[in-house]
Amino acid sequence: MIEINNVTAGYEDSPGRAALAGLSAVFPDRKLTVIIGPNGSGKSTLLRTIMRFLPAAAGTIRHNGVDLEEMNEREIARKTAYLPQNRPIPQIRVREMVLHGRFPYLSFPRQYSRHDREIVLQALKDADASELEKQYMHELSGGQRQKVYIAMALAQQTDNILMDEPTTYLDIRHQYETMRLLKRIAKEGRCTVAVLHDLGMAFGFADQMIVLERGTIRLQGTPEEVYSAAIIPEVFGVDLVKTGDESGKTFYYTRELQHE
Amino acid sequence: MKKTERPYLFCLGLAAAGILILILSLCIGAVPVPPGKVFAALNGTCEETYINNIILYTRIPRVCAGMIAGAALSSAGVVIQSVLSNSLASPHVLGVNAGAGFAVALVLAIFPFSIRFAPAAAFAGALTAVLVVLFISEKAKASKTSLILAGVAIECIFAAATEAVLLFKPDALAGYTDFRIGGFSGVPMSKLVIPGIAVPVIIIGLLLASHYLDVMMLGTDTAQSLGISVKKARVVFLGAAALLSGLAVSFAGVLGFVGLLVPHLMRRIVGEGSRPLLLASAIGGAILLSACDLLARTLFTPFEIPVGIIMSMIGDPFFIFLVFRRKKRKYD
Repeated sequence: MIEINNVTAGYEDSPGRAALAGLSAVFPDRKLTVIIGPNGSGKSTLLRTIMRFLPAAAGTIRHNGVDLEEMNEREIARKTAYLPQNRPIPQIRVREMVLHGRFPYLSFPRQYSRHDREIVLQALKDADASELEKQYMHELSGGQRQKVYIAMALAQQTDNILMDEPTTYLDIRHQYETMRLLKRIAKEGRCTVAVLHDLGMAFGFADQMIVLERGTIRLQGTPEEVYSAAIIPEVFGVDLVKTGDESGKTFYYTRELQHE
Repeated sequence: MKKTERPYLFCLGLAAAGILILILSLCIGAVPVPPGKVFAALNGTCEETYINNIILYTRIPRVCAGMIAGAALSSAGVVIQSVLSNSLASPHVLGVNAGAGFAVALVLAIFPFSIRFAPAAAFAGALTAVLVVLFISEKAKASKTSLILAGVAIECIFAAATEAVLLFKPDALAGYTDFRIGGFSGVPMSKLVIPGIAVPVIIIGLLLASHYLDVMMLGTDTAQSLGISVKKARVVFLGAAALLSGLAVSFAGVLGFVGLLVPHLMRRIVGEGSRPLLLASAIGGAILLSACDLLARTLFTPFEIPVGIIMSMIGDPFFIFLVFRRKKRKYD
């Protein structure tokens, strides 16, 4: 579980970039929390502040009840995994990539153990990526690569996983696959947090949502609560439409604002 | 080039090639010495004084110099490329060698008899250049290409500063023959003692800490999320690279391109795993510089040319090739 309380943060060297002003929220275990908001609302800044890549100017952040300021980098890495949106693609094999998830448990100058390799195989299996094990990272499709990164996060064996736009650049089928995987990871007990751009996807998969607007939390709640509050047109400038099929499943999609 | 599945076996093969180059370098020269006499000179049973002198006081120091400088500069290249995630970076391109060279020239101009402090001065100069590069990389958030351009500028500044020092004190580098282009002619064993101990120790240290380099190659955010304090790690690793470059410059002068060429070549063969890459580059660099030095002193016998000229002849076109390849990729 991650708790943030009255967190303020920003980029000193670029005041134009998103800043966070007094944010408080709880990211619970066993839930997929999706953060949405227009460009520049502070979504990525929030994740980076939670990971201490960006220092919080005020407020407290707790990972599993432990204050962020009381932990070193390795202790944070054992509690929370983070997948950035952009990263260089290394020319290494998938199993080596996933093995990097064991880095926070490696003591100098030990080699990775058989136990670590067993965890890697399990993580690949859990991320539906077992068949990719021997392939090179740069030879994979975007969707396959995303599975490998998620497997790496699983191998990290943390209670919390944060992902910055995990479905961006993926084709639609892989977007659904990735979201289903995140949902499953959350159900298995982890506090799972994802920043998403696609509102239909966000409302369709989230257990809990946080709507950010200009560095503040506009609303947090279940997709139903956020939908009912009818703030989407105001925050995003689009309409959100809720519909369902004969089996009773609910779907959301966006469309241009309908001017009367 | 296809990557090998057994990088350590390849390293073993490289090491064997290194021993062969070592033997060839001891045997071949203006005065050819058969292997039997080389071994006799080495174990003190050779009765011909001039052969003893050639082997023990000319060729052994020279071969050792080539191997130490090659291993040091190539390893520094691997570290710099990994830490900055920049395949065009190297100690020479970023001005680290030039920084070391300037510091050596300056110290020897002010304190002419302080040659034993050359390694320390070179390290200080290299470290200064590395910190400037790091500052530009982090504070100015320079792109990979901008960082290389900044490095080229740093290199020019230090090279010009070295020339300025030599203008005021022309004999500052009297203890070196080809300092500004790099060469091993007349290197005494005394200059190799500190680098000969320190370079292998640093490379072993880097091999033991290679997991850090592997993770740093994944990008700053990923490395940090896996528990590395990236800022500290960058300073430590670039400091080690500066130390390696400084040690090489302290006896070989401002040698270029070894640290760019060898890591690239080895990466294509052994892949991106830092441990095999460091090992292969250290051995490969030692071989390349020794082989080039062998060419440098035998191509125009009895005259010899500085090894730095041969390295630049190979290295410059290679650098241009890399620039073109990057551009081609960008538009794929």
